[in-house]
Amino acid sequence: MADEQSGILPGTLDLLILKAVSLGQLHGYGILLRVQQMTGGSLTVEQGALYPALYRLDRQGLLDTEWGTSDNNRRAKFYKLTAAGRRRLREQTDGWNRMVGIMGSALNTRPGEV
Amino acid sequence: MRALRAIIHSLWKRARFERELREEIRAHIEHRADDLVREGQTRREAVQRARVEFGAIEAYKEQCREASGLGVLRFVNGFSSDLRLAGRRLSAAPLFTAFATLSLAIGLSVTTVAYSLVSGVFFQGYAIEDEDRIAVVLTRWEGKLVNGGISTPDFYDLRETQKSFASITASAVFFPAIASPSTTELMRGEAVDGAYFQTFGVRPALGRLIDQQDVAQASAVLVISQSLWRLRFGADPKIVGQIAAISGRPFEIIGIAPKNFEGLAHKFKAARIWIPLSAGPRNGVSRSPDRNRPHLVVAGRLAAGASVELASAELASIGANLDVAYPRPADPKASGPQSRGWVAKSLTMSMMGCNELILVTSEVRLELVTVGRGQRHGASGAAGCHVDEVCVAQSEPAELGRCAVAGPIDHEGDWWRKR
Repeated sequence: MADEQSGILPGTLDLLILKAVSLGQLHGYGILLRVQQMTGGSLTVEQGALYPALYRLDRQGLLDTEWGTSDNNRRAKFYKLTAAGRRRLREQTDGWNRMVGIMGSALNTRPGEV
Repeated sequence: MRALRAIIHSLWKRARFERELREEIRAHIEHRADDLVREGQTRREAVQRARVEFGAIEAYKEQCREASGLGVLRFVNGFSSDLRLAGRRLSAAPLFTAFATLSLAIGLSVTTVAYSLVSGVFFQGYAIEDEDRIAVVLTRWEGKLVNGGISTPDFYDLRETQKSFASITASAVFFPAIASPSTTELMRGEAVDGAYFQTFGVRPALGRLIDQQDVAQASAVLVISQSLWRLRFGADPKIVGQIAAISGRPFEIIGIAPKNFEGLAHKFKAARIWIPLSAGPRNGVSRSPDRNRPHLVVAGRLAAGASVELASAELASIGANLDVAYPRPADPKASGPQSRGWVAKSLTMSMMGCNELILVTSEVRLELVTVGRGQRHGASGAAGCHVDEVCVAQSEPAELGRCAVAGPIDHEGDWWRKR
């Protein structure tokens, strides 16, 4: 549902979150900004839709959380990647790259190559 | 002892989850507001905008609960402990059990018979497509849930923000004088927006129905009900294109509504005519931009996958955001301004005028809970979490959809006129 709302392909919001958190621990709003930076502002995640995804990843043991203080001197919940999360990120990145390669090659097929 | 410890642990875990979720969302909004303040907005404006940008807070909170597995946990915990305690209590007092069973059986039978009769009489062959997917937006006003209490600007904001409805529409009730070949009489009409008939999936029996273009051009066009066509126009097959006077103003009849479609009210308050909302002002239909002139009845078709409960949660959240941005007048019965308290209610239930049915159902539920409650305090000494949750929920906007049904509901589309 969250993926549908954000206009992102199903499953890719989780991957983007894992990637964003892999670059350093972040709070929810920080993850949102990091995703926007990483995608050059091309993908906009609806703000509230981020949290169900974060809670799901936390429940799956892919993220770890701790409360801390943000740069704005506010109390915030920070997310960081667990070992399982790092493994999942690696697997999903490989899978994504493989799929991009397959689709790219399929869509660039010329008549003579068939 | 171990069970008691498990219950306390579960309650503590849930309370902590709710506290942290609330705090995390507040931190998100504050961080976003900090950025907006840096861009030059005032703190107040920044916080309001950050809340709007976040989206339907209560709906997302519910999704977080589901994602964390607490949605299921709550249901299982509440249901199994209610069942266990009720069973223990019933076996301890067989005479009371027999009496309670008998009274429940009679109550349920009467309710079922009444429901079947009303359903059979009023909803036979209803013309709305998939009417169980249609929900009406009710508003809380001085402690009552009323139908038709939304202002034009609030409706525009709601329509822009909401995601629970695939299509949403507004209409206003008015009482014009209609001249037909045989007589002139006052009757109930609805001024509707361009999405009205499309939202309900209604198809014309003859001619066409009001659409977006009619509303955009404020066309003086008119759709009449099948009963009016038969009774006052003699079922004239050439009626489409003829002119009828509504309160002295000429309107072109463009179509006949299908049989059994008589607007959003129940049989005794059936609408006989429909005109575009924008063509209404000269017929007593307000288009006031004032947020304190709540005159629109709002209804919508639920989006795929959305439920009435989810829509209620989203409506409560949108209403709460508007309460902050545009507070309503003070409530004479309470301190501070009244909240919009929007709640979605299925059209079928809303149209039935079935307060009694809902109250009977609530009483049955209350009896069951009371049976469990007495034992809970008496025997196990455990906290009555289920009942307490209901009490707490009544102060939470997102929960109104579940709790407010037991309150009185004003089914008048024009309730505000009577004030």
